[in-house]
Parts: sequence; C-alpha cells; structure tokens
Amino acid sequence: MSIMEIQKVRYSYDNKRNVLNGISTALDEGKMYAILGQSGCGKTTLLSLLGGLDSPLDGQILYDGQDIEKIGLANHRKKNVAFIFQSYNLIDYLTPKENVALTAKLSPQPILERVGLTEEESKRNVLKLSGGQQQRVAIARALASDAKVILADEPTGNLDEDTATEIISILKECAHQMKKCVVIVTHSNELAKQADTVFCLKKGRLQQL
Amino acid sequence: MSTWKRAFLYVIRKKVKTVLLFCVLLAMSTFILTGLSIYKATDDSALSLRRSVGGSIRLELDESNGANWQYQQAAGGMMVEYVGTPITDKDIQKIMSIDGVKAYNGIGDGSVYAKDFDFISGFSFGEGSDYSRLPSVTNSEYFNFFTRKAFQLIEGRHIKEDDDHAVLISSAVAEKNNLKLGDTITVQCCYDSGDYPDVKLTVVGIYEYKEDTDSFQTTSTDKRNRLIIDHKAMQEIMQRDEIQYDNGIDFYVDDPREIDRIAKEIKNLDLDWNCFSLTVDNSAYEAVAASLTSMQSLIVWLIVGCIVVSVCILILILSMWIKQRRYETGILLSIGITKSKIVFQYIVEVLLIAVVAFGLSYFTSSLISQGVSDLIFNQVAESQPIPEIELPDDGSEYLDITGQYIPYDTSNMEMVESVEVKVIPNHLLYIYVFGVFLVVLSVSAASITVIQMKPKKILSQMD
Repeated sequence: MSIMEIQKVRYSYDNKRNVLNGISTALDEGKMYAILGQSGCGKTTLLSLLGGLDSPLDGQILYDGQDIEKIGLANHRKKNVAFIFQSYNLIDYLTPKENVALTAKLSPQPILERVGLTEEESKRNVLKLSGGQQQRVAIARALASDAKVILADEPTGNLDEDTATEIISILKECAHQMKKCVVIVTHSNELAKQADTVFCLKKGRLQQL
Repeated sequence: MSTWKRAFLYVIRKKVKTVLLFCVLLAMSTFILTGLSIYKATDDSALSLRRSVGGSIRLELDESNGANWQYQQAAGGMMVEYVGTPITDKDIQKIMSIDGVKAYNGIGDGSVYAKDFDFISGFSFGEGSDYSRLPSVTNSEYFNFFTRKAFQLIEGRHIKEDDDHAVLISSAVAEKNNLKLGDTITVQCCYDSGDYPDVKLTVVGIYEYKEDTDSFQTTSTDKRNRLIIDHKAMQEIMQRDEIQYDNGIDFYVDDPREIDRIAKEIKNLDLDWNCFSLTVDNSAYEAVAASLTSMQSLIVWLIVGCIVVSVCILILILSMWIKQRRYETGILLSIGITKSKIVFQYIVEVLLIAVVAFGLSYFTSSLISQGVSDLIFNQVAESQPIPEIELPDDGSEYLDITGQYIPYDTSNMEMVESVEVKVIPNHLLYIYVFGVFLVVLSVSAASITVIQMKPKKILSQMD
C-alpha cells in the first residue's frame, strides 16, 4: 500500500533548468527504495521534497493520500517522516539517549540497544562515538519518532565497508520487519542492490531499474 | 524532549559560552542597576533639597508703569506716591489657594529713628542720617535674608503672622545696647511729612549678620541695623489704617520644579495686572542643586548608553553563536521542531543565565554603586562653576530691605556633596522586567538571519 506519492513534481533552482521534471511515483510501506544518480542530479532535492524541507514548483507530494502542504511541512516532518543524514547530524551537547529522545514517541534505550549501542555508550558525549555508532544513534532517532517513512541521504557515505553493511542491514530490518518505507539516496551501486526497488534519477526524470 | 529541558542542557553543558554570557549579563545588569540606584538617590536628594531651599514668586507693585505713580512737590523734594490698585488680603488668599503654594510673606517698608537705643553708626552725611530702614514681614522665617542665610537666628524665635509689636534685632545692636530677649525698644518714623508716635517693640529674636561689616556703610545701609518687625507694628509706626505691602509679597512653593506652573496659574488669576508684576525666584535651588541636576542628566545618559552598548554586545555575541548553531537549527527543523520553538529555546537559554546574573547584580551593584556615585559626583561637582547671583550695579543691593539682592551664602547652606546610594529590591524588579525584554529583543534580532533561511538551505550548508 502506498504511503507516499509523488505526482508530477517539478523543481528548479533557477527557474530555467528543471532538476526534477514532472516526476511521479508511489512508495510503499515495508519496502526499501534506493535512488541512484550522479552528483547534482537532484537526488537530495527529491528527498528534501519528500521530507517537507522544501516545496515543489509544480505537482504534489501526498502522504497517506493527503497533500503534505495541507498537513503542514513542519507537522509532516514531525509526525510522518524521519531523516538520516550522511554526516549523522546529532546535537553535540546531548548524549545519544537525549538525541534519540528529541523525537521520541517511543522509549529511547530499547531502540538504541536494538541498533547496537550499549547503555554505557548511550550516555556518552555523541562526539566521542565512532562514525558507525553516531549513525546508529541517527537511525535510532529516526526509529524513535515512530514515523512511517525514513529518508536516508547517503547514510553510509562516511563509514567503512563493514560498518556500512551493518547500517544497511539495520535499515533493511526497518523496512521489512518494522514495516517502514525506507528511501535511500546513494551513489553506491552495492548499497542500491540491497534495496527492493531502485530508481535512477537522470535529466530530471525518475526511472525504475 | 521539551524546549525547557533542551535549553537547560545547553546551558549546563556549554560551560564556556554560559560563563561568558553570564559575565556580559552580569556586567550589563550591574551597570544599569547602579545607574538606576544613583539616579533614584540623586532624585530623592534633589527632592529633599528642593523642599528645603524652596523657591518663591514675588507679587509686587509694577514700578515700570508710570500711570500707577504720582509725583508731588513736597517740602523735602519730590514725593512719589502709588495711586494704583493695592495688593489686598483677598489677592493673597486667591494665590494661596493654588496647589503647591505653601506660604507667603508680605513685606512692608519704613524708616525709623532709635529713641531709647543706638544703631551701629555708619558714615554720616549730616544731621538726621542716623536712622535705619526696617521691613515688616508676615513670617520672618521666609524672609529673604534668612532663607539666603545672610541672617541666622541665634536666639529667640521668628516673627509670625499673629505677632503684635515684635521685633528681631541683630546681635551687634543687642550687644551695643545690652539688649536681650523680652526687652523693649522704642522707635519713631523718621519721615518728614507728619507727626509720628513713639512705638514700643518687644525683642523676640536676635539674628547674626557677619558679612560686609568693614565696608563703606551708612547707618541705614548697614544690615546689622535692620529691625525686622510685624505688620501691626508697621501700621502704628507709619500711622496707616491698613497693612501695605510696599515691597511686594513673596509666595513660597513646595517644590521649585513646579514654580513655572504656579507662576502661570497666578498670571491667570483675576488680578489687576496693570498694577502688579510677578517675578519668579528659583535661584536658591539652582545655586545648590546644579551638581545634582548635572549628575542626573549624566546618569540618564550613562544608563541609556549602558543599555544601547549592552544590547549591541548581546546581539553581536548571540548573532555569532546562533550562526554557529545553524547546524543544530537544521537538525531541529528536520525533526519537525518549528522555528518559533527553536527561537524560544534560545531565549530560554539566555533567560536561565540572566535570572542568575540579574540576581547576583543586586550584590555587585550594592558593592560598587556608592563608589561610582562618589566618583561621578566629584567629577560633576568639580566641573560646576561656583554659583553666583548677579548683583545690580546701581547700588540697590545696599538699599534693598527685602533681601532680594542678597547672594546665597552657599557655604552655610546644606550643599549636596554626595548622595547615599542604596540598591533597593524594586530596582532589581525593574532589571528583571526590562532585562527580560532586552533578552527577548536581542535573541530575536540575533536569530533573524538564521530563521529567515529555509530548512533545506540550512541543511545543505551543513553537508
């Protein structure tokens, strides 16, 4: 069942060249999607539009059949989607547990343990954690929000291969076991291969591979 | 996690920033609180000074209007007689009913020979020049010679409105004639135009006058010979049916700051302004309060300057810090926290620090305010010219019996040399109320650039 729909979305930075040129697609719960494409092709822009960080010039983005503009972008970000960024984006004066508690509709500690952080680690300063651990905290924060859609922008971009594999497996678990809709923007073909559906964004068009 | 908790965690974990901001807020509130306290102290001092030195408005016969005066040839030369409307008790009551007028002193004028005592003899122009002029007063306490401290009552009491044939004499005359309180002296009007009786006066007070004893004086210009009497005595001496306020009436006000308003109200009264004139005398207050007034304006400028500089520094520091926190702002926006809540968090953080800093400023301000006040006061006092009252160059200050031209003896007056500054809890309350406003203003101004950015732009600048 489609949790999000993209309908004829057009976006341009300068109003001359369209980065997204009337793209449409539907995203289902319980699936992991990967969006591939060259740098500057508009992958992150598409993710921002899905997450309500920006608005399309034309077209609509629906969440559960409702236009996210009508839901309210801040409200949409708060209730319906959760972001995971390449640079983790954790708040440096909060512990991992407190970072997770920022969005928490669920109790942070079990989620942190589920993504592989011990109780001791979840009380440390986030900047003293490794990159992999920080990304786990970011995933835990996304899960704690209980949002149905997780939007991940190059989530393994800063991680070594082993850690990247672990992170991907957690995201897969989110999609398949927790029935989230996980959308990953990536350069990595290896990562894309793990997804249930792979899109390629080229010349403003979204093609399913 | 609530905004309050995030703000609290930020404050306790970003210790360097917290300490720095605490110092800025403490300095800001200390200076403003000190300024407020000094201002209040000078205001209180100025009020008490205004009340103690007072101010007066003189209603007198208009000498500039020739129609009011008639010149007649008399045996001794030309006589000038006032033919205009006299000042009556009804006029006085009208003026006394104006709000802020606390007392009046009508001044009559006469000249007498001493019959059973001697004046201090001055330069003699010929026979009959050994007389003195004497003023009659309603209340000698308000008489210019006393208010300006030229005369100081050293024994007895002042003349009051209901006195009958009472007199104040100088210590020099008392000493020369071995007079004391309760003794009587006899005087007689020295005018040529009529028969005047001997009039007995009872000494009720002795004043001291130390100035000008060595300079050139005739008996009548020597102020030690002034006999200050009541109006009833003057009526008998001058053989008049009614009290005549030849030298006008001084009306005294509670607060010299109100003097212009009161003068305006008097001017609006239904009095014969063709015959009367009004003169405002605020010079006593101005003479002694100049340094206080200067200090108050200086303090106002210091407070305003402090506020402007503090707000600028606060906005500058907070702008830099909030710009550094774009990263955090982007994260909070991405998880759906609204911009207004983010700004509210920044405000709460500064307020948490401010509450402690403002509270502590009560003690720091108490420690420094007296010192700062003394320092400013000394600076201001040094820059003030010595107060002087311009004297007429026609010699009328020697003849004038009203004391109008007597300079203020500021050395004997209670000059304000310092003010006692006390920081009071009310001022702290102002600091809290005003400080909260300044903090909200500063944080809001500092947040504008970041808050105007779209979440995507903030996040794209982060990676």
